[in-house]
Amino acid sequence: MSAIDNQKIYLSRKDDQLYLRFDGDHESVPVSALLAAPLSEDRKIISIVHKKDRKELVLLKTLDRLDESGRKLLRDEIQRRYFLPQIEKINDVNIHLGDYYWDVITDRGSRKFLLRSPAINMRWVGSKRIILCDSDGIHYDLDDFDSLDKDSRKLLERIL
Amino acid sequence: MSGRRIDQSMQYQPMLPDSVIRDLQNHGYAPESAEYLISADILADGNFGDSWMLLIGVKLVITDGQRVIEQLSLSDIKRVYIEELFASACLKAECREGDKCLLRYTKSRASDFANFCRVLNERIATGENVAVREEANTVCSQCGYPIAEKDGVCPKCVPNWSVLKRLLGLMQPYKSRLYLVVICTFIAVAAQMIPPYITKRIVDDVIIVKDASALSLLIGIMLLAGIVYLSARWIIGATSAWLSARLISDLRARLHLHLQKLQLSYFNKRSSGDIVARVMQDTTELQQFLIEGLPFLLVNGFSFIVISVILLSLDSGLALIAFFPVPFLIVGVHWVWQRLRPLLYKRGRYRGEITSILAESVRGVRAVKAAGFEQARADHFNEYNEKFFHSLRRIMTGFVGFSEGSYWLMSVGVAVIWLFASIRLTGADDNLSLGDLLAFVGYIWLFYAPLQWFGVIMNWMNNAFAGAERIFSILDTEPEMYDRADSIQQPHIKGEIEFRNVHFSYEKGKEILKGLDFHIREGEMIGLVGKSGMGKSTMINLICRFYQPDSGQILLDGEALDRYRLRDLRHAIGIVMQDPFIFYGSIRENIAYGRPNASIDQVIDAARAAHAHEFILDKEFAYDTIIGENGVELSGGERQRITIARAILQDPAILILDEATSLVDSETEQSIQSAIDALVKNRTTIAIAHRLGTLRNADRLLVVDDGEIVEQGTHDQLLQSKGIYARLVKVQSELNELSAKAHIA
Repeated sequence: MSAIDNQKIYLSRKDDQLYLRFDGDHESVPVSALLAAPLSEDRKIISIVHKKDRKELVLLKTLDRLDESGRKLLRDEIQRRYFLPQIEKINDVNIHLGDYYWDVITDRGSRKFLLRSPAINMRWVGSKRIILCDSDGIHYDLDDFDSLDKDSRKLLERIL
Repeated sequence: MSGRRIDQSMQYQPMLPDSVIRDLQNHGYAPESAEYLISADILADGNFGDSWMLLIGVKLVITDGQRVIEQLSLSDIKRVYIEELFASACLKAECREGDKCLLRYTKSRASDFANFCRVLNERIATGENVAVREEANTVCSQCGYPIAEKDGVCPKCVPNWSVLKRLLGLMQPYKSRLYLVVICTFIAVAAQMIPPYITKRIVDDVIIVKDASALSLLIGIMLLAGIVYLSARWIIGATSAWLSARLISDLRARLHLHLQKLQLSYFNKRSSGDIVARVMQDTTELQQFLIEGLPFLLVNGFSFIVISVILLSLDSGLALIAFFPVPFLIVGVHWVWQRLRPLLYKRGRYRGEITSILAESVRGVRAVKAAGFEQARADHFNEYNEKFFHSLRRIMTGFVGFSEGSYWLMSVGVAVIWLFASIRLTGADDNLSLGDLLAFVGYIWLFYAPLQWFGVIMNWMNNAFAGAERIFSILDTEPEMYDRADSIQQPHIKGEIEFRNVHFSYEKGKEILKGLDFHIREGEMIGLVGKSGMGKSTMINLICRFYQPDSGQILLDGEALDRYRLRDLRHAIGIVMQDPFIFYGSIRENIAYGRPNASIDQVIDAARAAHAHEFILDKEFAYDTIIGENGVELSGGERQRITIARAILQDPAILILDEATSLVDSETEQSIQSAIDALVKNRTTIAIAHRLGTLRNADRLLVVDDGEIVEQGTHDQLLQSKGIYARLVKVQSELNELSAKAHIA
């Protein structure tokens, strides 16, 4: 690995906008932080791209090159950018005309949504995780089938 | 004026809660005087929750459910814009002191916000009110779920009987046959009631009193009843089969016609497999139910009532005993069915899975072999095949247990009847004869037998009706607008095209065309240049009226595009597409697709002009060669030349070449180019090409970037101005040099 790959980087934030500065540089550039694989189990790989021309500036496989405040800023930015509610409880789910109607509680609050074409929009990742995509294109993450409460599991088993 | 506007927006956006209104009033705002109101569904902390933004006077006020969280003067805002995030977005304001996030929302609200953003920017720029486009209601007010089809009717809240009513409405033309079914149902049930009664008479009047005088008459009636029953059932079966087949054929024909008339956007949102499945599977399911399920329900429902009455009149005490297992049967059926249903879903899912694995393996056989994946594919297939087997096994064992179990329950009922009746008979009860008992047992079997299937049939009915509703939902989707009352009659289309501030988006919130303005003169050749995804093909889609613009106007010969009848319009436009579509049929039919009456001479002339004549003659059956799916394979270049010939034969006022020569090799391209040059002459032509060299003859080039026209002029003018076009040309000539060098090497 070349030296440049271990170069420290610094993040800062102003007016809701993330800025990146390489160690030794004077100027900060406005950037966006993107997950390389937002839906698969490994959400750790983060690409930092230039806000304007979308060119990649650095690809982070770990957070080693950041200081503590930079890590926090990056985590906050990812949390802000990636709206992927985690399903914690299923209040109700039923099927009508082949469409699935879900009523769930997520880590971002409760939500009723409609899921169409279940063959495409209910995707298994491994054997315990399901990603649901609703009719508006919002994804919901059901992280661990087994960790749900009994009622939710029962509802799920009825339709899966 | 502004008051009305807020009234309108209130209709489709959630009303402000009282607490918010009070809080706004405490801050000195009058919410009812707001010009615009928009609601968002994510709070500042990133959780689901409602917040609102109002434009009151010159102030933007943002409030969540609790309190006012932001107040901004319009004069402090340079512009607002949308930051797209993952599954959500943020409406931001560019202020003097930096950018501010105003509201966060999910994709569900994207359309409202895209619209609002544009309106607000115009308001900031001009200081004038701009009308807000109304959005369709997207959430059902009854159940709170999003509405599946965006037509405002929640399919979940439509009752089952309305489907039945509609189905009956479809049978209207075949009323007489429907009556025949109902009448035969009465006759069949009546005939079914006779044999047990005859049994009673034989036992009581013949066997017990040892008098055979009435025997031949009774046996005769019994045989006759059997024949009547058989004939009635046969008529019911045949007529309902005819009716349902007729009904389904009607439905399919209507579906097919309707599908072709739907707007293209309908097909963007759904896979073709999904639509084909709806037309074929749902109608088949419905048909089977109408043939078998509905007569079953009719006959057995009616006989159930009749037998109940007969049993009660024979002996009310025994009848009550006979009714005793009925609730158990019904509850048992429900219980078993509840457990079987998820298994049926599972079976369907696994079957779909193995079908798609199989299809993928066959289609991708080269790739699988090349990667040495045969075993991995086989394992993958086996995994689901085994799952399918197990679900099937469990369903079958469940079904057997279910039908044997309910048979046992019925036998218990019959045994109890025998027990009580025998006690009464041996105790010399005058009210009950041996004949009564035998008739009773005969009726009871007729009574019990259909019971176990009622639950299953009801479920079947639900599924069939769900299919019917899906079919109706297609039929209810609004078709393209073909004609208007004020459509221009028999227009002579010359081909002058004008775009006035045209905005368009396929997906709500993602604007593809951002206010296009341009004018194409009659007979002019225009080249559209730009990277892919910048809106070139979209412009063509709008000219063909495959889609309607969100706002702005498109004029053809100075008249609004939608004043032309769709048939006239499409007839005046010839398209040679990037991915030419070949219909199943002969080459001759394919070339003459737009002009079915063309003579073979005309077809050959067109083919010759398109440089297709020679390769067509080389095929075994020349112009009669069958092409298209399952027909003779054509290369990409050959397909393209066929569609060029099609356009030549159609002789349209407007010619659209969408990457018309992209699939042809360079040599053929040169020969086609001359054909195209001849075709282009004297008609309006719009050409898209990535190989810029092919556009050199264009009268004018429009450079499209990110939904806007950024440069226009002739090839030479644009080269001199050293803009985007000049850069594209430079990159391409460098590439060409490189490949030329590679050739030499």
